[in-house]
Amino acid sequence: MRKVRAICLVMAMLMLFSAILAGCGQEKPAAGDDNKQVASQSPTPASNSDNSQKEEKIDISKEVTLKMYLLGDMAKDFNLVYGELNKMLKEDINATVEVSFMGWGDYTQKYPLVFASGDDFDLIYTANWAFYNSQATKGGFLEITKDMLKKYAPRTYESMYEEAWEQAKVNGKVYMLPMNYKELNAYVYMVRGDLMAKYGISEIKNQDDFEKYLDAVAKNEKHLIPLDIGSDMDFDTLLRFEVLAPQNLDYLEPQQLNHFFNLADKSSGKIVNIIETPEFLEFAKKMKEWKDKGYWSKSALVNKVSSKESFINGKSASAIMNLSTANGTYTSVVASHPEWDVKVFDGMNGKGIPIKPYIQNGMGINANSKNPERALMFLDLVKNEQRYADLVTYGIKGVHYDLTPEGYVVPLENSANYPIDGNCNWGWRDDRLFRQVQGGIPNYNEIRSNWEKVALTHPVQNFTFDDSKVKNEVATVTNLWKTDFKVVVLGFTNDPEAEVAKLIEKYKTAGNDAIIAEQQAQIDAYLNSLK
Amino acid sequence: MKKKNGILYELNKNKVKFLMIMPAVLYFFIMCYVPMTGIVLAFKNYTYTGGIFKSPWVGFNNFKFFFNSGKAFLVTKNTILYNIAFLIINNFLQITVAIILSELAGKCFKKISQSLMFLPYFISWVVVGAFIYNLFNYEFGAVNTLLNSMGMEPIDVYSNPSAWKYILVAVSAWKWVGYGSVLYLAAILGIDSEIYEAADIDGANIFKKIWHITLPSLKPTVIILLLLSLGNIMKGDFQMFYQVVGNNGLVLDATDVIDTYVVRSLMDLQEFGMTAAAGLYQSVLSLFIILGANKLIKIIDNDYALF
Repeated sequence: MRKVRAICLVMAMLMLFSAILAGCGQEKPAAGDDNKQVASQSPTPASNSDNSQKEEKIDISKEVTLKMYLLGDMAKDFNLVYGELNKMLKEDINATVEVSFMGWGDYTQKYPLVFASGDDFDLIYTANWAFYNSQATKGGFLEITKDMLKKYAPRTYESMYEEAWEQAKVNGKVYMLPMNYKELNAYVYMVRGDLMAKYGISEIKNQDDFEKYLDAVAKNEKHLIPLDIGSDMDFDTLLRFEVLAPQNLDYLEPQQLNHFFNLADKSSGKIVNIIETPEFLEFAKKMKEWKDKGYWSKSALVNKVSSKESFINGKSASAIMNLSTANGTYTSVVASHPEWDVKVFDGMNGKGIPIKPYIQNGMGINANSKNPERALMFLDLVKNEQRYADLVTYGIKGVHYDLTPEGYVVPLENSANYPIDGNCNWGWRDDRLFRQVQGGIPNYNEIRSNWEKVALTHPVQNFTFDDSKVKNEVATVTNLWKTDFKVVVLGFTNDPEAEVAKLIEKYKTAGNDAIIAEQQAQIDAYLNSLK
Repeated sequence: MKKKNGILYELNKNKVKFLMIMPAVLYFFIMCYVPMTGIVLAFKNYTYTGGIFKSPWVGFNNFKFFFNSGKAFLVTKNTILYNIAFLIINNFLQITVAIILSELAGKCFKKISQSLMFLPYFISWVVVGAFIYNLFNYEFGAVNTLLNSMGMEPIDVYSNPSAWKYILVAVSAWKWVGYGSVLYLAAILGIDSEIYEAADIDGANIFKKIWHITLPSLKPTVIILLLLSLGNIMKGDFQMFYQVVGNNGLVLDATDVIDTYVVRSLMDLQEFGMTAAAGLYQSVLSLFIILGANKLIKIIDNDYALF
């Protein structure tokens, strides 16, 4: 039996060793290899010797590297453009920025990690849909005060919309600089004109026309997916067209809870639980029909690519996106595939168009940042100087774009390598500096002005939900949104009626009613506090 | 005079041996025991400012999300059943492969086949997930393209829950057979060759030798490996389930394990307390399972027990 023991011991050691090694292998990437940044100390107290800028007594004699996180995928010429930016920044504030991107596919995983790991980055893109509230309440962002703005970002202090500042408040404190831009949250269809002509569809005015187009593609273009939806990003866009917009409904953040309010009913903020409405049942039936006809992939549930990317890559025949994204995409697709004759149509039918909250885009400063002053100065530049805004929004003049005498942006051949307004520059977008694109969507102004006429705002848009009392319910409901709800919305049902009933039941078991009660109480209190 | 069995006497007498075991002890202390204090998070409402120790206590609140959903039983059951299936099938295949490899004569063939079987171990689950997607994608997948070209009906794997049970078991076997067989091969090579020689003289054929010598000699190894993997029976191989199956609501009843369920629920919430609670739930159940299994083995044959 000695031998048995000995073998046991050897094997045990072997297993432990392999476990140790495996552990090492997995932990390394998580711990972050992002400590490349040269340790930079906070600037020494202001010394008056530097009088190149009279008012600001800010010492910028020490060169710093600002580490910035943006969302999305890095464009081909991104480093070229930011190299140019860094030259200007070096001159103006003796700083450079070093940008890392978190891709659309996995930013939800990476974003909390960079905070939790204690990384000392300086700037990060944030928004009400991108962790602003959750990281702010956890203490991930540095509080920004008006005094700080006065000192380090005086022009931003002057130009900022007061409502934007108010919207950014979490428990009375501000943790981000929201964009200074009025954005409409409304969606368009992007389709291929060559296919429309081929199948005799002259115009897409509504869902029925869109269905005709999808149908023609599904029947005749076997190598194309008519509409490649299904990723977590955009599986619910058809819901917006079919159910939300006609009833003037809009999402209450966070979106995963699946609660809605009526934009047109300004006096109340009553929560609408969409899945219990008859419209949702109709929608579920229609989606089953569409799915069965092959309008999207039978593997759509595990799709990780947005309809836009799929469209650009020539895998699908249509895409749904918001107007400004569509504008940038249009320009680059027309350049790369002129034969597609890409067309964009209004999908909203003049209803349910909200003006996005300003905190829909913004920039936050990390609580661990060693150079918050310089970070603010950087933001002040890109938010207020045309040459900075032009560079980060449109690229390098003469390489990526050119300007007409009237100030329109003309995309050049290389524009695809730095898509116009498509490089997560949204956090510092400003109405005064934003330019129209010549050669963008031809009917851009028509669509936008149509929307502006009927666009709605609602005080509840600025409401942020404090979920601390119902966290457990929020967790289970969030889970449903990604699984059972998604299944019904994408039409993967055999018997829509039974499965919608089952879905309602599941939401009830998960404790949705408790969340609604809590959220409604908070909304009512919030609306009362505004009166 | 020193006491013969005092701790100082013991330390002094075996100081070289204690020195030798020091790195391992330190490793486990720093990497396993110190982080264990993080368990308190399961009972706290974590905030960045409060950190691990100053965040407020919330009792068992963090565990509720797991049990409220009504899915706790399902995912726990899935986790255990999948792991048992993996355990049995993988070990069976690993032992078979190890025995075949050890009996093979051609050195070159042996080396090549061993390397080829080991290869999947180095392929990350993300890549495996991409393989699976490109195999089973309804419109463009390799399987359906093949079926189409042969004039057969395409199969729709992504909405068929029962298919995934087999896919997952197969993928797991594919990935681990090479790795595990090396362990068993090492054990087989350690068997005294004189026993085989004696068997040869007695006229035993190859199957007799395998049945009467190799397999009984492997028994302790098998039991040790089983006991060690029992400790992980409550932990779904997250990477595997997440990457191979994806966020597919249609097949979740068949494929959801504790780890994927927790990630899906808490990804957008970032409640560290709740994730810690889920981890603690798994660890406590694992502890009971491994204690129970060890006890059982002790009753059957004291020599094989771990402790």
